[in-house]
Amino acid sequence: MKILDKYFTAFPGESPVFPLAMLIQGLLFMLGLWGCLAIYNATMYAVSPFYFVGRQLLWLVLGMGLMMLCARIPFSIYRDNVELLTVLFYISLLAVLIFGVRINGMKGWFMVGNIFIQPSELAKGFFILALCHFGGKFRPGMRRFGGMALITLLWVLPIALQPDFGTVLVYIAGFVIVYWLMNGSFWHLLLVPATLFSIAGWIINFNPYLLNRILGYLCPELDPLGFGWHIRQFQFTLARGGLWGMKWGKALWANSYLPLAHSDSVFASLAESLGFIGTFPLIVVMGILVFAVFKLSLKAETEFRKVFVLSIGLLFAAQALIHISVNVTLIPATGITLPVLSYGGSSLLSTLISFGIMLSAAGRHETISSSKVNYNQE
Amino acid sequence: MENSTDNFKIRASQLLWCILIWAILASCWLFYYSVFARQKYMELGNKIAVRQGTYYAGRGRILDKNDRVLAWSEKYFDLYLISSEEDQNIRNMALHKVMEILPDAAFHRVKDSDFLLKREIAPDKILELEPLLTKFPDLKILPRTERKVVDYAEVRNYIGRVEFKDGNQHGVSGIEKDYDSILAGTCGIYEVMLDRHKNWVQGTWLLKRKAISGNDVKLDVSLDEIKTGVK
Repeated sequence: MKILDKYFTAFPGESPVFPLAMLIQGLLFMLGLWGCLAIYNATMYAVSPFYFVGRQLLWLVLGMGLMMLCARIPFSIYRDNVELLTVLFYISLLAVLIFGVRINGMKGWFMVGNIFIQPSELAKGFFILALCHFGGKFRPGMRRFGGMALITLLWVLPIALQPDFGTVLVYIAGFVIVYWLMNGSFWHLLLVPATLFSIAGWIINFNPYLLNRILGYLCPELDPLGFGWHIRQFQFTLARGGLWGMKWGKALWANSYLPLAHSDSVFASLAESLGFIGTFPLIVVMGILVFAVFKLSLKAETEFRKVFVLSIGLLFAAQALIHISVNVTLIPATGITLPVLSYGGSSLLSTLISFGIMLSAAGRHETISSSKVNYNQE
Repeated sequence: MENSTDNFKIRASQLLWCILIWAILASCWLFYYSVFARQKYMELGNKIAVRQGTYYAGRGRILDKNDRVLAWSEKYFDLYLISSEEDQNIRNMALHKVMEILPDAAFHRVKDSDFLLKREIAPDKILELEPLLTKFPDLKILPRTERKVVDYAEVRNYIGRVEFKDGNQHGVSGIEKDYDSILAGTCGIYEVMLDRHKNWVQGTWLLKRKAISGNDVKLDVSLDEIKTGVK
């Protein structure tokens, strides 16, 4: 590991071999291209097979540019304007409930011309930044937990009203990650599942549809054509893929039976075409990316930055794993994209911008006077 | 600083372990469905989506002793709007789009909520309609085979009638019945995957048995003799 450490360095110029930031950017670009292929694979029988992939490719190029730009901006600018950024993004979350358009039953998009912007996606990185910033202002212990939980609750409330429970889950994962990295208590964190289960139980009490959805997940064979339908379709799609896959472009089941094969079901769609052998490496590559972010976080100067850098990487991993878990029927179905790979400009740009800010936080563009600066002081 | 860095490293490692265990669990689930239990789920899936069907073999012609064709089969394609959960607005939108290609299309009720929009669509129009069929799954182009007989009442009575049974035409009266075993061919059998709207999935059509066309029958009477009743 010592030998590897020697080669892992935050930015070019600091070490002649294998700069870590370049590795992360390269992996993200590779995953983005992989995503374009996956989207084409999932939509090649559509009326316009190049419509989605063409747009995604444009978003990818734009996103890579924005990531590099965000990485060049000194982190102090983000840090000094975190309150303003938080307010702006929070207003956008509220505004979308009034001025937004409803797609697939969710009122979560602004429509500008023929472009749809999803503020809950774009706000993810800034939510982590806000949580790191405001979390540091609370005294450690229950007060910090309560404060950060309150911020999270306020943030996810408009998203839950859209309603977009998949994204709510990602935000809650973000809160758990940041709180834990800021020396949070395990016992405090136990309150999160306890609260979630209580709220879920209360909602289920008034909404039998959700109960049926959960029953459909637990026993899809009870109602295979009703509430077990989606779970069953994911299972059939994976089974068709087998070990080696059906062949590229032969994601027929995903195209015919899965909801949004190019977005919320893109992993299953890939599994049908490429099989276990073709999709498992995707999980490995994502794992390498997260490990690279972990190594990068150790290079960051202050604890505030360390926490922020790693939280972005882990939030990416959590969202990817939620998507994959839904697609392999490990957890009940909820609409969530596979970051960087799924179709969607907001999701792609949000992830790449977050990584850009993360790279800025890990970089050494600023002189930090004291080596003992922690996230409370910064 | 060392302590806090160590602490961060420990907590970060704990989270990374959680992520790793989660990823391993998801990979195991993926392996289970795609390799271990594959056969079982493939069979269950095929029960829902894979259908066997028969296709028309082509009935032989009936000729008079001068080789004049008295009865033959013709294939047509009709456009339907088949019932589903779609709302009225989508149906009207579908009809509006159809009328851009087939201006004389109109709703003719054939069953509770099934409508015939246009009979006998020309091949070039079928190609133009194809994108609409994907966009509006309620729209269907269905093939129809008609048995034609030269247009004289005496000849029609003499030749007789056919009916569709098991995907093929079978004679039920007259010459059509007498020579049915020669005229009727053997239906082809195919297998195809259907999507959730019960439309065929492109590229999944598989021939299971080739259709064998029926043979022509040549009568020992002429058209004029049939018309005048000399049989």
